[in-house]
Amino acid sequence: MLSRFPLCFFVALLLLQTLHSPTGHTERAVASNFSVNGPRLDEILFVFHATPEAAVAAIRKGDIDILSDIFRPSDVRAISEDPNLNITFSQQTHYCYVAFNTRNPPLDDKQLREAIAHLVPRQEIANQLFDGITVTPMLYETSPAFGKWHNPDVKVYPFGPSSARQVLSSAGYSWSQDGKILRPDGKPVGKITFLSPTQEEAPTSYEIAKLVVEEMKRIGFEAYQEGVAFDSLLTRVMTERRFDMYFLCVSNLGRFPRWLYDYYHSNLDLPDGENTPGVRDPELDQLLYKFRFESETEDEAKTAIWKAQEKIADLTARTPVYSRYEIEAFRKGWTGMIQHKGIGYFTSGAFWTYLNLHKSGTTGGGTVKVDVGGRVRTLNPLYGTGAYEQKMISLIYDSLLAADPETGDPLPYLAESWTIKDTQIGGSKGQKITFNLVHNASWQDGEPFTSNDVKFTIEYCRKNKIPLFLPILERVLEVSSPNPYTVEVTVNGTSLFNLIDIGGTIIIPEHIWKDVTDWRTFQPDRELHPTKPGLTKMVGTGPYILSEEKPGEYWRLKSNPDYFRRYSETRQEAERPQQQTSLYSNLIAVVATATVTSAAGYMILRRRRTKHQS
Amino acid sequence: MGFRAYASRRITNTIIILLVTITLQFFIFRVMPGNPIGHFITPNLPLEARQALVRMWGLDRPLHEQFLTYLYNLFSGKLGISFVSQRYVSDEIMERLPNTILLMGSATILTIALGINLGVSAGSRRGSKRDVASVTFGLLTEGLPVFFLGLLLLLTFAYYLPIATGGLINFPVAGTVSRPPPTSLLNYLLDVLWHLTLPMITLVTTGFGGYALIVRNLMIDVLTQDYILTARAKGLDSRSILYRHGLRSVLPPITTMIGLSLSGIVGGAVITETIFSWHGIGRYLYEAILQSDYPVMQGTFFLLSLVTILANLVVDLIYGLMDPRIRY
Repeated sequence: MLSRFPLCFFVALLLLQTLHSPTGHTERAVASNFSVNGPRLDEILFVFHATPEAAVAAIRKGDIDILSDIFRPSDVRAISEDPNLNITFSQQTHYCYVAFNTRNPPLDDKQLREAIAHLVPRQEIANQLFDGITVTPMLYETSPAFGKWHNPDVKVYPFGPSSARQVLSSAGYSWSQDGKILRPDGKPVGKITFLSPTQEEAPTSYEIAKLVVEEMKRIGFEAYQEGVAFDSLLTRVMTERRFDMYFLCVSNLGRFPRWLYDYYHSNLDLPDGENTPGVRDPELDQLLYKFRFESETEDEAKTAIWKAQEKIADLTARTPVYSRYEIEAFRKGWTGMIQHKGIGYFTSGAFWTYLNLHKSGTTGGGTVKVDVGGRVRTLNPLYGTGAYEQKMISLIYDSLLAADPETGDPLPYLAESWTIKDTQIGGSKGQKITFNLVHNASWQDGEPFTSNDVKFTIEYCRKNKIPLFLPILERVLEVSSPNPYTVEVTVNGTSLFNLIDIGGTIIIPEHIWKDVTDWRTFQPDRELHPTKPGLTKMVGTGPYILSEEKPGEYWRLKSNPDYFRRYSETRQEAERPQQQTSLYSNLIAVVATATVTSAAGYMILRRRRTKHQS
Repeated sequence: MGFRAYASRRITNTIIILLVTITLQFFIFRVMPGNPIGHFITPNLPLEARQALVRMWGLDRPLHEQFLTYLYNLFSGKLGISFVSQRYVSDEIMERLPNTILLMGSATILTIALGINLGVSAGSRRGSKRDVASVTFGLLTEGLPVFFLGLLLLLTFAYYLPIATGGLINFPVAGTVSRPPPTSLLNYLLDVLWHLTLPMITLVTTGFGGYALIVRNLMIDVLTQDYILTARAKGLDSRSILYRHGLRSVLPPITTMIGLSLSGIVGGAVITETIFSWHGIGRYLYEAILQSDYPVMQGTFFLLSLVTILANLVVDLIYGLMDPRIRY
């Protein structure tokens, strides 16, 4: 009979656990170190500065509160010494690399490339050219900034001329009497040209190429540097493939290493494709394809991309040199900033910061002035690709899902939950993703947000073949809205990125965009709203409303008073029932446990008594 | 040849030059290294998206079709659609033109006024301390790099002095107006002038020396002429001799210089506009060149060519009126 006691206890615990467990992703986000409700600011004033000198002077003088993309060591030092400012360093998904043309001799030989990879003086570059402050030497193409997607166990090529010599010797290379490297067949390796931008155009890149060429010459390579205009470099590398080696940087690689597909899949070894080194490896192709299009689970995707990284490191078609930190400064007295992995605190993509940011010691309010250091030429949400354009657009428009700042995992946003069901489309596999939308979201002009808007957005982008969304939405086969708060999207393939891509697409209002005849020239921020005075046609569901702009000068975003995730004291009150629910849950659980335990105890005692009596 | 025939010939020439310029502008940008799509090479924008952009911009069409579209855009007045912003180039130019005219116009007027006065003054007292000082100062400021002077003024008057004086001397770091600007009209105008000060000083300082040196040399030459001696012999006061007889004779070459500087008023000043974050045509054109934004480059150069060619025409016609001997 005693065996029933643990069973009752287990049932009680189960009951307790059930009542206490998170019921949705929202609670999971709340449980983290940031709030999903906002904004806490009254407004954001984005202010343009054309040069770093002006931007640094502005923040030190007190004209602005936040400055991103600081890259000059002298500025970092000056800001660090300023008692009114804080400075942050975040590893970002950026890297600079040396690429090899693997199509032609002598760089078609992997060992030769490996040897040269050992001749990149990464630490010296970081110390000499960046004062050891603004960049970190990098041995991995997929840097640790990618979190769980970064494979730390790949082959690396640290700087070491002796290692380079060893690699060459073991591959059969030898040295002539005058110190030149000879191929295994005894012939000279030949001339290798390192293409770089000109000294006037990009002095750092030029110096890096120079340092590598010097190291190559030192061990016997016949290496030369050729400085060409940046445009010519791009044409020679991207279109004509007329190069031996070149140096280039790439930033904003995204949260997932999907760019590896573009960089190394043989399908992209064509004019203007990113596979500039000309890698053609069927095994790697398979892994990259699996990662990008066929992985149904995160584990599958991770396994594929980790293996792909090993293969890529082994091929040495590119060798990483350094990765730049995202260095940002903010005035002391602000709090609530969230570090977004691979992005930083305030720069484009740091969505949660602008929801949580507020003055220390207050619950909210106030204006934060943020530097705009790049172009803002259009705020058309279907066309603006500039980092600062994207930053403003993402604060005005929402998407169905948001991204966890730490892991990049999807979080509910306009969609409060979703389900994914595998389906058969013709002979191939597909997915039916059902998004359940929030009921309380509305457009900034007061119109309700419904599933028709989502359906319209997807269909509008597909119909107009909008370049930004083309690769994402061409996988969509069908979209339907069975009721105002449900959207069903049928997609080709079973990739886990289907959800992330479709969920990440910003949603535009049907009632504004249905009358737009030419989406390309439509500038919603410059056309007045037909019915709401004080508003433009730049109407989203997002936390901020574009209230004023003077192009080339400033953009004023005020907080959306009707935001569906509005942060306010009242809202906090409104949220308490959720917390109270959890208190109630605990209470109920305790009562339930006590009841069940008492009942069980009573039954046991009664039976014992009965047994004893009998 | 009468003035009418002279004028009609000049106008015909101007039209021909304009057409040749328009044609060259189209082809030169296409043979220049670089590709507009090159600036969209980012892993966030895969190849198929970039190819879609190329189709959208019409760059996949045959060259003659692109040329016809270009001509249509020019003559329709819209000047095409920017690759980067997807806005009409004419709209973008009109948004920036007032700022550029304000900066360059005021700077040019001040530069010319200061340069001519200093040149006349120096030329009239050849070898004097004033002359030597003017020549030295003119050479110094003429050779001063704009970026150096601009940054020096920016950091001194917009950063170090405001901090040192507790805001007593405080010029703006960037822009054409405060962000956000004052609401009353008078304050707004004063705010614009306040923002105009540093970039204007930069342009005037680096520009007036050239005018002063040229006018000085012209004046020295003119003041040795017989008719100046006659004027002196007639007992005219030195001011009348300098300005009514001397300066008037050197007006044609000065008019040419002023005429040629008109395109600068529209074209803006790339470096000054960049240093002071001035929302003008110069920076617009510079960014367009960096991004191979063909429609913007073509549209802006068309505007500059138009102004230069028309200014030349006007100068030629004024020449004809000022000096009846001129009939080419």
